Amino acid sequence: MKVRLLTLAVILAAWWMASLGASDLGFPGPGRVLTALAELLTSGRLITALAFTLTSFAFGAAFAVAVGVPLGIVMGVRPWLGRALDPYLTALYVMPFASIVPLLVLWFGIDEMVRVVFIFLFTLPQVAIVCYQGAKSTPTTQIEVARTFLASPFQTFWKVVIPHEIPFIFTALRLGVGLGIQGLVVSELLIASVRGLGYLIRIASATLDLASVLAVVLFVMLLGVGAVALMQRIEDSVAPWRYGTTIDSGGPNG
Amino acid sequence: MADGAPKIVLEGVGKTYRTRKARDTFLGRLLPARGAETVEVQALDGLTFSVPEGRFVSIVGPSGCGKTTALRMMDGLVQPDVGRVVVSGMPVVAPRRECGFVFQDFGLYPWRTVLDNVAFGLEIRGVSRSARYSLCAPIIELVGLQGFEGLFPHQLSGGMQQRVGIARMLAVEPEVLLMDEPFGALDALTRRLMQFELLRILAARGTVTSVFVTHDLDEAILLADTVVVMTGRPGRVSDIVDVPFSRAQRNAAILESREFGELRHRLWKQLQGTLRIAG
Repeated sequence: MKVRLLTLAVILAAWWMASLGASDLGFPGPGRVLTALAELLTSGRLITALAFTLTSFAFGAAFAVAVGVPLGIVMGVRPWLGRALDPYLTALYVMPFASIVPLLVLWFGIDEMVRVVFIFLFTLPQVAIVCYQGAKSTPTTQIEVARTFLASPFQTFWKVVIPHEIPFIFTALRLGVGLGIQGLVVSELLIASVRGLGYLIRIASATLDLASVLAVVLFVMLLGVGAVALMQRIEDSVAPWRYGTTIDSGGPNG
Repeated sequence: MADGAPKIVLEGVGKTYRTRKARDTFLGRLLPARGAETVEVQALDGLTFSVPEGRFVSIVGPSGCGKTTALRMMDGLVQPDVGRVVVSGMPVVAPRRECGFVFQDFGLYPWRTVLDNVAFGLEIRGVSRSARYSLCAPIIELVGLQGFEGLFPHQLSGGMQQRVGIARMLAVEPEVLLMDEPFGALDALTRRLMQFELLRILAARGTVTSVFVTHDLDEAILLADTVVVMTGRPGRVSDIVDVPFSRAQRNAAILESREFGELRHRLWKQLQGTLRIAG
């Protein structure tokens, strides 16, 4: 925790020093941005926008997880299906989503629906790919142990493949949250919207209020960090063996 | 190999693995090709021996001689290309209830506690939770894991982890114990300790037939009634040597005895011969 506070102090100091010579229009310092953030919070505009944005986010990300996790697992368990679908997931993953926004607007309008679809498509390939890798990577010995005890394919799936998959599902969820939030703000910037966080950014930049733009960006980042930390906590309590491995192995990535 | 009817019989067992050459990768293919794309590795060729009921047989041989493949065939994890593997008079076509297997890399489930790892086989057989816990309690005590029941595998040392592996095998009460270099991943001291622990555990378990794969001659002699020496690839039987020590004689002192040394020397000569064949 000390290390984290220290890095935060260094970053804030660097930001503050970099902004010393610049005008508020050019590069607002941390003080200006935090004031703008406080204003946005107290006026209630940020909370209203957030509530709107989070609703589409929750639906889109939930659909992506609901489809991506089982899809990835089935692909891992049935190798032919994995081989068949893998390139398409990669294709979806590298597709420049911003450029198909006009198409999505054409098909799904400019309301919640299009946002949900956008976040769904943006998040799905990552979630499915991670779960696919997880199911594929079940150690051979763990499968063979089940075989020597005459486990049925059904038992092997539920007692070996799925528990092995749990940490991967959480990784997928963390990715999903991060990507979903990104996708969301991008979608709101691109899709003419009169609500949401993207809308706040758009009107602030239209009036050259850079401090407010950065305030909303900062807020989104804080939101993402908080959400990912929360997921980590949940993972540590659902999968304690994972938590233990992380502290014991001592490697850079646990 | 006198007493007891044959429990396990291998008759002219052969196995050839087809593997892709290391160069047969995307980048490898960009380089000039040399030879065929796949290589056939003949792991076993005409392997014949039997294990009498109630005996402990160690299989030693140079690495890659197919001793693990032979052991996996006895459990039905691998099928021979030619010849047959018979356990209790029945050809082995799939894993069977009467065989238990201990893996070199333990194969514990990291999300299960020690107790639930040991109880895994019983759980697969549909034994209720309370029944399997009470069945596992004496086995956990036998292998020296009492007090560790609630820990996860990563919280245990390597030796303790393999104790879980052994307990998990014993929990389903197999008649045949198949052990694939179970102490191969342990340090020398823990290894020696576990060898004596295994002797103690087996002495407490009554009559079982055991096959133990290793490349450690001391380990092979210390544990076994009979040592099967295999040649290098393709694996065949090079020699079968009976160990003249009784079960009660197996202690730390015997390792220093002249007979033990002579036996070790004889097996080592035999192995050196097979190494020359293997090239």
